[in-house]
Amino acid sequence: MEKLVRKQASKISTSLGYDAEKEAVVAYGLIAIVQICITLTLVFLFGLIVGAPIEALIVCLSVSILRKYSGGVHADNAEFCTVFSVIYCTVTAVLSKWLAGVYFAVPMLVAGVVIYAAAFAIAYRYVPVDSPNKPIKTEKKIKRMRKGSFIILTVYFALSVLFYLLSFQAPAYRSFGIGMLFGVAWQVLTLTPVGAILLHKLNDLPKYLGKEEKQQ
Amino acid sequence: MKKLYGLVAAISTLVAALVASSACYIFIYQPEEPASLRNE
Repeated sequence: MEKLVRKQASKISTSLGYDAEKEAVVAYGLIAIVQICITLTLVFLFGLIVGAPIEALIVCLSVSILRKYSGGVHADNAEFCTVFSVIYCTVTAVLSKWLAGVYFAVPMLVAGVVIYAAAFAIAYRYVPVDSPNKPIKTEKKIKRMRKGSFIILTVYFALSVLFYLLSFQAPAYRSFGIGMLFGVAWQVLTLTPVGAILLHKLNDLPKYLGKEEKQQ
Repeated sequence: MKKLYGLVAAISTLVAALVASSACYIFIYQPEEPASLRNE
């Protein structure tokens, strides 16, 4: 996908007489637009198929909005990123719906408190998690990213409390709150070394399976 | 066609600038950031 988008960016830049740096900026923005559109559309469509489109979008957006400030471990290519995001959001959306059906208020409250306590602690320890393709070095930016992450986590916490309280009157809010917990849990996991190992192992799975098939 | 390309380039540049101010791309793939957008 990235190659295809870069080709289009090159075509556009040549036509407009842009230099190499301007072309790189256009390509960077275009990759973001295409990735956001494809991922959100697929998450919504697969969510519709499994009967939980709102839950799937809640998981997806709660991961991605927090990620904007916290950073996190990265996949090697855009295709794996899209496939993994769609699978994770769809599976957890189904789980959210199912858990909402067997819902008990007290265990839910305990799960919420544990996940948010862990999320704040992990964010305090690791944020921001940068990557070789986008390093974060200045103290000013580190402080800005940390502040942004804590603000977003606080807003998520307030929304989760609101969903929890509303769920006593309207059961539909149960699955929204559970979906948000799945989003926060995954995103903070990608900030930790364990999350990095897990994601890299998953990233290498197709290569490993390909090797196994060749050997057979 | 040039007008359409100009529009796409303008929107892409705007999105690139918005993404540059964050810690990373919003999903789990991060392409190499252009030097002119780097604000480390």
